[in-house]
Amino acid sequence: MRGSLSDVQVIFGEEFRREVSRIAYRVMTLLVPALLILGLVTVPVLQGVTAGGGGPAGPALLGYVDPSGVLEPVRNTPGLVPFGDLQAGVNALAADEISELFHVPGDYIETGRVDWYRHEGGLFTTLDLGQRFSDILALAVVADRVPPEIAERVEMPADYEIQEIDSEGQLIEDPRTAAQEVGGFLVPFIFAILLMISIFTSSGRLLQSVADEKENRMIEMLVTSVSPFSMMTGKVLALGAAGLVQITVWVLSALLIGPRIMDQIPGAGDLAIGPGLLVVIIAFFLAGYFLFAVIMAGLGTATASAREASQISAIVTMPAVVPIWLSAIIFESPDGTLARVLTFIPLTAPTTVMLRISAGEPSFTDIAIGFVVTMAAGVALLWVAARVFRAGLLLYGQRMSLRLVWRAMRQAG
Amino acid sequence: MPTALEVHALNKRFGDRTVVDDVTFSVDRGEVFGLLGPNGSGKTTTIRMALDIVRPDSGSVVLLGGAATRQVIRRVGYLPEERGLLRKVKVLNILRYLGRLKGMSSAEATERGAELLHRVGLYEHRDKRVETLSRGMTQLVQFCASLIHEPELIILDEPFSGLDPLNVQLMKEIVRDQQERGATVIFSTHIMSDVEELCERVVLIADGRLLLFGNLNEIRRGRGANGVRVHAGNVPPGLDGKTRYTGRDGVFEFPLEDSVTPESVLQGYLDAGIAIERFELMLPSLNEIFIEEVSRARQP
Repeated sequence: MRGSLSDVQVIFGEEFRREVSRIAYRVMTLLVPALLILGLVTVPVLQGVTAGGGGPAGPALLGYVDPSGVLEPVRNTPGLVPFGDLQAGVNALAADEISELFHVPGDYIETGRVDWYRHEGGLFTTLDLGQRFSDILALAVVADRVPPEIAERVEMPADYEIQEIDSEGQLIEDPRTAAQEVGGFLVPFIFAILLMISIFTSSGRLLQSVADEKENRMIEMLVTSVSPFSMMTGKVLALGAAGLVQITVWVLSALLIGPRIMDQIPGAGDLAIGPGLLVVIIAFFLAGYFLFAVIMAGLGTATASAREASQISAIVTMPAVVPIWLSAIIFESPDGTLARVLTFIPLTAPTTVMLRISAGEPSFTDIAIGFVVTMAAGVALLWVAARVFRAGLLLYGQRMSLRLVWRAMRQAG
Repeated sequence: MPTALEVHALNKRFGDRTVVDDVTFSVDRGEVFGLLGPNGSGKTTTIRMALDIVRPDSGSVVLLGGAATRQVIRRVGYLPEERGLLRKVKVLNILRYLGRLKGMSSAEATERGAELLHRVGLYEHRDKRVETLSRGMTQLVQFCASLIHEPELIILDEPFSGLDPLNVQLMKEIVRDQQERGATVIFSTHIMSDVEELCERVVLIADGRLLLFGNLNEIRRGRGANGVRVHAGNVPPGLDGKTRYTGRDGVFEFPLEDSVTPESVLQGYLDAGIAIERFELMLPSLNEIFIEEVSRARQP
């Protein structure tokens, strides 16, 4: 006769096969790579559309009419197109030969007034062009009146070089660029969301699977073949493995396709996912899934129907969303009391750790404690859930009262 | 005689309600045994306690000669009263899965599953999802699942409910096949004609208490005759008005009462000079015993 390990293997194989052959699972798994591929295809197209605004394709040309003569010193600036009179400039704008047209009247020095002609509806795409013309004007005004080096400072008053210090006041060598900062924030943040989705999907599937078997009256046949504990372990492992496959596909596709998308966006950061982050993502997926899975399995047997179980599960999963609600505070102070407390509470730990990694560099100790409390809570709840499972699985169409749960826990095995 | 199941002084309460009250009986190996009782009498709870699905409050169970451990329970085939299969799974796949959970290899379970589907006439449906089958067909598939690992003990809880007469007949034939193979079959029911047809021994439970236990024929004989059935051309003049309508020409039944005894009926025929083709004592039917026992047990 086989041992319970073989039982777990049989249940694992069956549940895993059943889960990965579900259309919804396949669609969900392939959704992230599909969206990334879509991004890869559409980003260059969108780049073309946004760069051009409502004007001509290619680099933006700024037309001007200059009765004031102020722009004379900078007339050879690339991208500037002078026009002798306003009508000629307007015609060129209408014909999309230039992106914008600026009219600098004779009393400009006294009034500062400049007339800006542009295509209708182009406000958001051409504001930066207005700024560019403004910079050129600033340079033009002082060009002949101050030494060249001063003129250069007027053109570019500050070339920022950011110096970062650590918590002890020491200068950090080779600090990240702003673009890298965005990438460093975005990657863990996206993964915090994906992690949450995957945990909820996988553990929700477990709840569905248990509730289905209960609702389909099949559980009674199953428990005469295998122990409730083997059955639950097989299910938890199978659906966890299916979730892990899913998140692995997501991570791999992000690793392969993400950088290519970022290459398409000038100035965008590097979306590389470091090995440390990968380990944290996988570890917290496993711990988070394990914890929520055992809760869901317990709920699946303790409630009357699959529908009711999913309603109650929404309440249980709410704590995992709390850190997202409080993300503004966590981002503001990633090592603050609130962020740390949420890291040490099992149900909120997985999401909080991801958010804290997005916003800063939480200490290894905090991450380790978060992982341990989540796993420990999972093990403790597994003990409870296996007992509730046994007591609850035969209560067809009945709700399980807290009294029954308590009694089930007291009755060993 | 080695036993397939022994339950001793089983008790179970759910809340304030006693569901099984001091029930003791045993089932011999190789017999077809009837577990009888009205709805809600505690039959299913007794079975669940025998299979360690529900723990008794007190009492003991000996299953296939030992404690009801997981390994021993695996040698039992069980068709629960609460029936159903995963709806999205294909018929042969679910049989293979359940077979593997009983310790069979995948190939064995597939082969045996296909064999059983042939036997119940559902082989053509092997690749269909369970949800496409009718309720009766699903029940047959689940019946196959309970037999897939050739169990030593087969427990069928209300196996014929919801089935058409043809499928009932088919299941009865398979039950007899299983007995010939050497398996013990316990089936719980409240349909007495099925029991009379299949079982040698029975236990009757009502409101959780054991009312009768033993050999079916002995129980009936123990009750004594309750009438006389005579196959003859007519009714003697002295016994006119004492007959019960049977609906069959030339068959007359005389319920026994103080003035009507088997001897007086026979004497009446002899005196009247009417030829008798057949003369038999009528034993009470199981149905009558069932109604009488349960009614008596429920009297305040």
